[in-house]
Amino acid sequence: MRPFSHADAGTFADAAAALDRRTSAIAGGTDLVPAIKDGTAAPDRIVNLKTIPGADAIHWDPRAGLRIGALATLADVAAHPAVRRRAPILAEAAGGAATPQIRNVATIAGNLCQRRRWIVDGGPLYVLKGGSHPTFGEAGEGLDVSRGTRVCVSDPATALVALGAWVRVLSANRSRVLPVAHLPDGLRVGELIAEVLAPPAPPGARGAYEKLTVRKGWDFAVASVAVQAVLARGVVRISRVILGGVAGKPWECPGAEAILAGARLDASVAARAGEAAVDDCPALSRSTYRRAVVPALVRRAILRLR
Amino acid sequence: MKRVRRSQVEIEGKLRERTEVVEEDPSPPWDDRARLRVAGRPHPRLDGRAKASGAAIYTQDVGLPGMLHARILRSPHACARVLSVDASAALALDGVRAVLTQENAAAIPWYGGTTRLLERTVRYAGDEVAVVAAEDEETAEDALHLIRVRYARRRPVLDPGTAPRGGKPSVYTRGNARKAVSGAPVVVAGSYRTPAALHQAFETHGSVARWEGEHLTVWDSTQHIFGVRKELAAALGLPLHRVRVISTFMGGGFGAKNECGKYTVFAALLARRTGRPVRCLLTRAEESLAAGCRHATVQTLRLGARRDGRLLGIEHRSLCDVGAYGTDGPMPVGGPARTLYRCAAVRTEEVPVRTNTGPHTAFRAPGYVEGTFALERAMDRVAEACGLDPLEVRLRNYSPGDPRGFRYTRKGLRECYRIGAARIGWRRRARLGRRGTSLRGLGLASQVWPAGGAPPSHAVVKVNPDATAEVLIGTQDIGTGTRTVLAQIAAEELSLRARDVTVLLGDTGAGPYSLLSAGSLTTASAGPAVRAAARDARQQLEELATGLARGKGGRPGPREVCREIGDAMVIGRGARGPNPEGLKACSFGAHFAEVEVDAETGEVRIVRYVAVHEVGRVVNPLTASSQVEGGVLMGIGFALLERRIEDPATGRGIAVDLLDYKLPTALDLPPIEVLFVPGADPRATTIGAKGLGEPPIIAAPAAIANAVAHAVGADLPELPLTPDRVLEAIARGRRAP
Repeated sequence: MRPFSHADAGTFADAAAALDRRTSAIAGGTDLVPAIKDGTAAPDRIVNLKTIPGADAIHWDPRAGLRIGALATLADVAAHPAVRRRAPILAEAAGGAATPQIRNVATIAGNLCQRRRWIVDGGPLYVLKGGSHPTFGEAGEGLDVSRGTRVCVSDPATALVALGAWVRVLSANRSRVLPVAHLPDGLRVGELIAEVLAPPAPPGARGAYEKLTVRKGWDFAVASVAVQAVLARGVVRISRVILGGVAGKPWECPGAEAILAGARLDASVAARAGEAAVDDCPALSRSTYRRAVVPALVRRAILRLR
Repeated sequence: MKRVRRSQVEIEGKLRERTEVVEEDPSPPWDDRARLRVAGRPHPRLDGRAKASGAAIYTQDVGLPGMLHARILRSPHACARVLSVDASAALALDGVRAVLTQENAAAIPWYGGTTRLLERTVRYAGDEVAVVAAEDEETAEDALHLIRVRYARRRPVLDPGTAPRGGKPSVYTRGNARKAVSGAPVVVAGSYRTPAALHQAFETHGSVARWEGEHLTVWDSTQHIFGVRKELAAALGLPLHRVRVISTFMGGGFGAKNECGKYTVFAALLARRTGRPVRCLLTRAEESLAAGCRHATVQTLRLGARRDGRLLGIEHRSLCDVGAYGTDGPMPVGGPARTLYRCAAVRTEEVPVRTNTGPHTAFRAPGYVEGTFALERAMDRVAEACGLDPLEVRLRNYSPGDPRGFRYTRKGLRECYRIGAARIGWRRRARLGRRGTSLRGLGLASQVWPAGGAPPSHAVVKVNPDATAEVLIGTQDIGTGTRTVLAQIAAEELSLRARDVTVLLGDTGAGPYSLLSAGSLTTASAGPAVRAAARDARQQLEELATGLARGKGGRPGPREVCREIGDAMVIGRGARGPNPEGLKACSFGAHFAEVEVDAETGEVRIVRYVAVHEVGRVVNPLTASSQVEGGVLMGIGFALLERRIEDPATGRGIAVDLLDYKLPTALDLPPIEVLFVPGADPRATTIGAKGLGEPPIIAAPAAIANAVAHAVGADLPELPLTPDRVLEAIARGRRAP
């Protein structure tokens, strides 16, 4: 392992000022530490964010919505009464990620910025960590890229995009907001997520999150879907259909949303929306199995809104 | 009295003729009429508190003053010639004390002489190239990156279908199977595949070695302390008495720790070179690459039957990918086909093929898990073809004896069927079907496994002045509860409580020889030895009581005798007696699974699971139930999730940690109902017990596959049953008429 220096940050601005291509920020460490161990990350310096006071708070404000501190753990997010009440799909997504032990330390911001994972199709259906090999003397080439797809596996990201959420990003001298949908590539070197902002859902809003895994616990989604919709007298006014685990980022499905717009939720509408979601996501054409199951996942999520 | 005889022993499904030295055990067997107080009753593990609290010292916990840490450099290439190894930069690193390479390490033959400890040709991605000993693990790891190795890469052989033969096929025949199958009115033919699977013991392989003068002590995570002693002494050219192997607590082996590992020899060589104790433990990644596996199989099977379901012939051929070395030959994949059913004409053939992948080892019921999956899948298809219930077709082919022509000491498989079918509600099977997108299915599978134990196993029992006792025996407790079970047996014979007995095991320097803890041998081999030794001690106490008897006070009880004789203590000695001539002792079982399959995603959920076993007397129902649960858990992993994965182009291991190698989690497990057929098997062993180590995994994948096949209405030819494969099967089932 390459030696690195370690410094505790007092504020996000301090921490952001220290960041560069050779410096990584650490919070829960559930993504960075394994990456260092398997050689896919080799920072010279590590800035510890856990010493920033108050950065794990979760607030609800009727006008601003949910404000979730970057250092709130997935377990905090999943259990917080305001999240459960105002953004149940986020609670569901955060509570179904990884394992209880990981959820107890992994932070929401770290989860949104985590490494993409490999999916290998056409053989065993597994979502794998990938990366090079710690045991071998030479740097390993890891998985054969031509047969794999790199996907975003963050469950909360899928839910947050469906909720139209933003992140507040700090660098040494400025602050800006960025849609969660633009993560992680939208983050520049020297920037840190300080908080996650989910606007208040309008009256009549409801949502559902469905996650399909090979193993029932401690596994990444083979495919997941977050659906968030506003219903007025049984008719869909606004809807968001977001697929997770199938592409490099949470994938928006405008075709599926168009089918739902103005419709009453019944089995036929839900099924058509599910079929449309497959057409919305070109990455699915590479996977027979995902193409086959996405319609059912989407349909089930939609029918849970009734 | 020792004597010599020829006998047949069947260990891990392989039948071997051998000359054995046996010692008669005069103990009258504990049969069903024996009134036992301690043996046969649930007893919490005597070492449970030590394990749960962290007080138990496993090999990984051994820390010695001045101890160095070794790490192994492994080949990244599946097939290559090592042109040169330059360790100078590694040796120059602060904290590095020694580096072993092919240049300075003794050319010790390995894998049955097919290679050496460190050799110029590397045959799989993970093969050992060099070893570093340093002051701490991190320095040793850093040093690995400083070793410059030049390789000449060769194209690896990775596809078992085109791989060369890896030794002689193992063939068994009775009758003319080809003719019998071809002429049968009902023929079921199929090809079944099982993957390479990893043991993933929670304690990885590893050793700590310390020299004191000419004496070597090794702490090792092993299933066979005496085997390691023998192999290590041979490798280092030492007499046996100068090598001591200790394994006090052990975190699982499942067949991958039956032998001495290279890491043990590395630790010993580096310890000698540096004059310091050396610890060499495998990482989880190494455990996944280089610590053995259940070999992959491609099985072709043809069953011929009459229209009433009775079998006429079985032809079974399995291609076994034994990997880069795999010196133990192919595992007995044809075992179930040879012995599970009454059938006059059987031919089985196991063909080893060699690929540039990690070598295989034994793995909990090697061969039988894979072979039972194929055979029991095919039996369900015979039932279907004949319009019979799957249980009925098994009963029609029930074989009261071993169909190779042996009688059994006892066979309780029929009771297993009866108990399990009643418990799960087998009669509902015909009514199960589709409800919405949920497909329900019920499946069963049967199991046979040679589990009668064998000599030699010796034990010594020391009775203390306070009427407590110590058992000395050179067996090991690999996590199954051996310590508790042996204490119960000794306590029974000595009229003590189990907690008045301490079992000292896992030390070649303390206890006399006992067999390896594999092949479901331990309770059935070490158990009778301990009983014989305890019985010897009790008889001595009784004789002394007569001598000490005086006038009115009468004859003293055992407790008084102990006190009275004080330090002139009684020492009992016993040995495992011979197996009964002409009889085979096997354990039997039937597993029943009810599954729910999601018709749209192919996900399988096991709703209920019933495991019934006949193992003679269950010495400790508590630890036995744990054993069954663990076996079923492992079987569920093999059925639904697990598979070693290599990159098909380079042969490199891909899923090398516990996130990527999909062991089942608690959320993947159903409630497992564990049942035993009551009654002892006094003809098998003097304690009336048979082995239970392996039986619980054998039928599980087959029972689950049969339940899923019932749910989806199609055959499932390949494990694991990941959702994509199940979804394909559902599509096939729909297309079927």
